[in-house]
Amino acid sequence: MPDRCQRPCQENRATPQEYAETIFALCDQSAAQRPPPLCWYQLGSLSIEVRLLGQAQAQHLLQAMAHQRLFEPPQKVDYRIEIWEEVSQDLPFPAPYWQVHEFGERGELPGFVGPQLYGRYDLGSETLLLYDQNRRRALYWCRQVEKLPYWEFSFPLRQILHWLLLPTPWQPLHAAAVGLPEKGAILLVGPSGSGKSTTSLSCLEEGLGYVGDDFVLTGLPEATNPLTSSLYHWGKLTRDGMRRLPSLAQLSLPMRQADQEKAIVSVLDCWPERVMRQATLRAIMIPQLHDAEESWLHPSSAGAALRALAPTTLMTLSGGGAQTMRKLRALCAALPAWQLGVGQNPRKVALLLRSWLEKEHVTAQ
Amino acid sequence: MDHRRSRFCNRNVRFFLNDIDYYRSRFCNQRVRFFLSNGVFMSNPQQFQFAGGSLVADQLDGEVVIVNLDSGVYYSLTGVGAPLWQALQEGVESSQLARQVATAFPESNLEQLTRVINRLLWQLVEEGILSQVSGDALCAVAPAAEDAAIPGGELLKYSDMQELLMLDPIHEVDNTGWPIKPQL
Repeated sequence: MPDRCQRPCQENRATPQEYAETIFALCDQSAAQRPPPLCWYQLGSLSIEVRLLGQAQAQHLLQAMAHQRLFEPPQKVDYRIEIWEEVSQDLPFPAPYWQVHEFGERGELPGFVGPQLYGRYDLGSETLLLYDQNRRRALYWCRQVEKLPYWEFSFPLRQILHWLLLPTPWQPLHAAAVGLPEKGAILLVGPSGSGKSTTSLSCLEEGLGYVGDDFVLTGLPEATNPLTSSLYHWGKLTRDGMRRLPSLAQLSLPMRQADQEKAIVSVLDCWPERVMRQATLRAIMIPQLHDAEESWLHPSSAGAALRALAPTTLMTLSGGGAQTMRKLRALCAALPAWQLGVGQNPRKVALLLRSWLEKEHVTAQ
Repeated sequence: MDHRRSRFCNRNVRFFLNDIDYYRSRFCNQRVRFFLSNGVFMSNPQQFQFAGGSLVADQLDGEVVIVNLDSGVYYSLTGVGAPLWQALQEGVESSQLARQVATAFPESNLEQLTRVINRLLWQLVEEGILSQVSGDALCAVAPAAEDAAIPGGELLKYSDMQELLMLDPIHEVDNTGWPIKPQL
């Protein structure tokens, strides 16, 4: 790759603010040279504009968010995200002004740890993520979209969305959610491998509505019930999930990579009527896979829900730890919690959740 | 009643304390004041504070959840651990902790409660969740069989999410200065 980035002299070391300013000025310069395609998304109560700078062929990076796309510009754009693909740009991108040893444990950029500026280099996807709260602008930089790992396409921009939503009542969660129209949704929480995806995709197969299986947005706006809003309509099946749900496995998208560990299902393409864009949350459920046939529900505590939800969300979304924890606590305090034993029969867990939603709806009335 | 002996020794003073259900003794000279609580001898009451930094914590419905964002380890305190945590957040010093927690668990034996609390404090300090800001150093407290009757007597530790953070640290960059994945 040609060395098109400008390495600054260490004696004239920039400040984080200056670096951010340079980045966004460069984005504007790129946009002026080649007007970028624009996409708009409605996430919760917020409108987000995404600019594909350099006319990057990055639309498929955002396919998993297609169901929340607006096809007309919103009246007001709350945030802007710039997508910069290095290979499609002529402009030199500013090189880091810091030394390699200054990156944080999770790739945090020095000086970009909030509250105004957040920045992180994600080594797994080799992407640079930046957010400036004062400008309400973010940057997603990658070398080449086509070479991103497959999983990056199933939940794009999640880190950036976490940062820009920090001061709002909305919070992306590492969680799944399913529901029924007019009856609300259930939040499924727990670490990877606990059964969130399996449960949510089982429910999808049985006709329940699908909000998400890996990351969903939740909100606790004032004077309303907790809400969940869909971020991504792509679901992921592990090998165990493929075994439990063979009919879903057959509908999965072609593998992008030979070593892809999970199969991807596009819910919007397969069951567009079952995608739930937003719903009122009715409960938090903590799934646990087990070997028996039947599924069951037992009451649990808000503390257990917090323990199931907080660590995994906090560790997958960097930045604003204490602030995020407060939002998670408020969410867990607002909803009843249940332990969900997920049996080997996928249909039965879906029927259990359907009957719970229908019964709760009647009770709530 | 367990026999306890505590010994304070300096050049001038030595005394022995025999098994008494509950007592407090105060010795005061120009330099030394000490408070005695059940079974634990301290010359200076201890105070602790939440270490913060990469740790975040919150309490809900009788459970405290503590997450170490750097290590990926998380913890839970339940039972007596929850009011203990609350008392620590309020800055209650060690000599008063058992009394304060006992208001939430009035049926508990104060001596046992003190032992359980001291054990929890030691665990919290050992794990880097609390830092001690004053007083004598904590000692490890061995659990007694009867302490199992006190709910939440152990700090629960979970390591199942450490793999989320088992990323290679950034130590290689390309010629533009941006990190690259290590070559396998």
